[in-house]
Amino acid sequence: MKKLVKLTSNWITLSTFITLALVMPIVLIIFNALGAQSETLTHLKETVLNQYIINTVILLFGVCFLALIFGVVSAYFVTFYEFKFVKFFAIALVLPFIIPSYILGFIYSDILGYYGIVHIFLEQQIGMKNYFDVLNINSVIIILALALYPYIYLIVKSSFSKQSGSLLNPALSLGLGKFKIFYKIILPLSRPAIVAALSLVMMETISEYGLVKYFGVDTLSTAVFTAWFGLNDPNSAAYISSIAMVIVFTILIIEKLNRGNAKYKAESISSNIKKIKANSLTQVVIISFLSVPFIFGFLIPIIWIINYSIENFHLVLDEEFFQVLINSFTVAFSASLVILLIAIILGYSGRVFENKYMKYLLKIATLGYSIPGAVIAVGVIIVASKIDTFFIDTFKVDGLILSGTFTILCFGYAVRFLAVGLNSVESSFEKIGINVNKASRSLNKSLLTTLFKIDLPLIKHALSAGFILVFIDILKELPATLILRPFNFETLATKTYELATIEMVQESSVYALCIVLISIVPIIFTLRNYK
Amino acid sequence: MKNILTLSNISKSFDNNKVLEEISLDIEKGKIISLLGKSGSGKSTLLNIIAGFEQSDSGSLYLNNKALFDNKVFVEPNHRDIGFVFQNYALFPHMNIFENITFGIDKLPKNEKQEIANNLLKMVHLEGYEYNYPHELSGGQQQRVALIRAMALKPDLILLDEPFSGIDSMLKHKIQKELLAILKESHKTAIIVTHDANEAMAMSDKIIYLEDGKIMQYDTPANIYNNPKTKRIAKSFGIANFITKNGQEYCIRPNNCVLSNKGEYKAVILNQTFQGDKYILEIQFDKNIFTMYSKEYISEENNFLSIEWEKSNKI
Repeated sequence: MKKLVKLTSNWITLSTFITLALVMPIVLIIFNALGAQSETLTHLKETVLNQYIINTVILLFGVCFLALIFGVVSAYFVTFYEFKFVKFFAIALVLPFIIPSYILGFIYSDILGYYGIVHIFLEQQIGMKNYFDVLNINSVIIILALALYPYIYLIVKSSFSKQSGSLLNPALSLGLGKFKIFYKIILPLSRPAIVAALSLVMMETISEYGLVKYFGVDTLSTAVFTAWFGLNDPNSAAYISSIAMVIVFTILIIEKLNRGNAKYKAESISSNIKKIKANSLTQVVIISFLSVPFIFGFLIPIIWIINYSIENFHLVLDEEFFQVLINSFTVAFSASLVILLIAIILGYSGRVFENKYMKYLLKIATLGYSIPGAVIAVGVIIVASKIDTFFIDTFKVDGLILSGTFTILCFGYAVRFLAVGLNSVESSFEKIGINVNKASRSLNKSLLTTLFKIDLPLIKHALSAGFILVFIDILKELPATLILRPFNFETLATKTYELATIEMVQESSVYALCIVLISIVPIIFTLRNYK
Repeated sequence: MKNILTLSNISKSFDNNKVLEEISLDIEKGKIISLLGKSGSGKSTLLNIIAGFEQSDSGSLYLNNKALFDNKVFVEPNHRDIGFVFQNYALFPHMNIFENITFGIDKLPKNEKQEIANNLLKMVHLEGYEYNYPHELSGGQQQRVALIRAMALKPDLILLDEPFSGIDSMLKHKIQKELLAILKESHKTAIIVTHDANEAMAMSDKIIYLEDGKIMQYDTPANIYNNPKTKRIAKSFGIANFITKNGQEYCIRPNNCVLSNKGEYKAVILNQTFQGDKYILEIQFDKNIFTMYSKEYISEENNFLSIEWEKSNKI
């Protein structure tokens, strides 16, 4: 009956071990980077490293600027104006989320390339001979902005619609100009939301691998690959990874500092915002503007994918295609299960032991979500090779146990995507409240029994939603999969990428279609949440 | 009478904020105790410490002379034999009423569980609701289920956290009476957390008044009402008038004030408000303004009255 005080924290001990394992790759990167010294690294520093950093920074600024315009202005029009097709655009503007940025890139390189329909059309119609090269940083900026602006659109739209009508309606009735209201009231009130959305866009931009690589733009993300595979120098890869992490953490700190200023939050949603009725000319302007991200971010790419899928279906639909499907589903299913199990252990410990230690532990465990996939993969490989070396040295094991295995790929996904699963678990725990858990414990049930009999049955729907979200994120993941996958192990993402890189972009459409069809599921969740 | 619960020097801090300071307390068996205080006074934390959901930083806690917490022992909530009725009841929404009631005794044979559940449901007049789900019951019914679910394990002590907070004020009085009757009938010891002084006075044998994490007064409702130890306690339990005499402050309840022609203080009536069964009078004398009651309207011509009081207590 009597138990020592420290025994109550078995859950905390387990959570601590899991977190340590998950954070190990990140720690090892920093550790390796600190002592990194090699000829390759010196050479990189003297020659191209600066250019990689400059490219990454240019990308960051360019994508943020363009995504900000698409996202904020779209959210403003949809929230505050009454015009034709407003309901259609409210949903349509989220659709570019469905198409991963690297697939968007392959599609536009095909459409705008030398043999693309645009070039051929211009050549035939106006006799244009000069080939315009789209494989450059400007195209990457535009494509990434089209792929990522929905983050800003969704978050800012939600913030706009929460803004108090009691603040905006008097301003309107006082005859303040619409743009003055936008600058003076709406924008300052939504600043934390905008910064939060921007930080997500920035992290995705730094993480981007498939698109930048295909367009020949060298960033820190591609440099990690080059150092690892091209130059075969783990220390340089770790060093470059740590630079990417410094940028990510700087963004996170800025976002955190900005969010700390809660005074900017609109406090009430007491009265509805009176929408401005747009006249005909304004309607044309609004619809034209909103059509740009929708047409280029979704409509054209989806038509391209469907068109070439139909055309290439018979060529691709072979044994390999099904093997790729099985591979993708097996790895995504297994890793999602592992992630959900970890999320339940950590989320439940955080729920029951509500203290600062657990709060920080959960934050540390989910650090991987903000770190580029390629960087995590490098960290995971370092961990795997250290363990392998230990086994070979100590137990004289023949060959590698972990490196290049299915297990290590799942571990990599867990480091990267735990945040998605944990977020689902935590928010659903929050919704059911802690009292049902306490009630069960006061009725003589242990923490474990309570978890199985009360907490899990009550959050099972949210758990399945969380599982699906993690599953899809894994299915779409490219850079970490490229580095960590077992030899000759292809997934939908790697196959799409591989076909595109060997100039079989149109043949990759069937694989891209599979990814797009699966990606529709989280969009339905997102739309339901933001409604 | 025998003490069932003994707390000694219980202290608790969150992020260097002292929430409870050196709480020492004895609770007698079979008594109903109210734990009263404003929000942030530490009452819920104290209840959670007794239940084992929070761990005290220091001190000791004994239930039936058995240590639940001291410098060597911490008994987890599932081994404490303490029933807990939560604010908003915390019934398990995916279980029917029978499953809710028998959740804590699920290891007993089926017929034994059935008998216990039937008896408890009968006690709270909810026969026939066994297979309903919590959302199909009214707030009052849910609360009764929460109470018998806690009682099914026959705990020595039942803790109730703001049990009437979600209930409509029209129904509150009826449900308070019912709950009190059930607790008294079953001879249970109960601690009820509330921020409502009237609720505390109506329900309990004794009241613990908690302020800034300290017990300011622990006494019977009548004693706390008539002899409050501080101004704040006096104000919490109804209208209180204060006067300073020879450097000492006194509290005088409105029902102890009378108007006469021979009192020490000449008084002027500032205001009279009709309340149906009485008038509430605002009286000024010297620099003091007092509130008092009168059964009849006092005519304006009687403004040469003086005020006196039958009872006062030092603060």
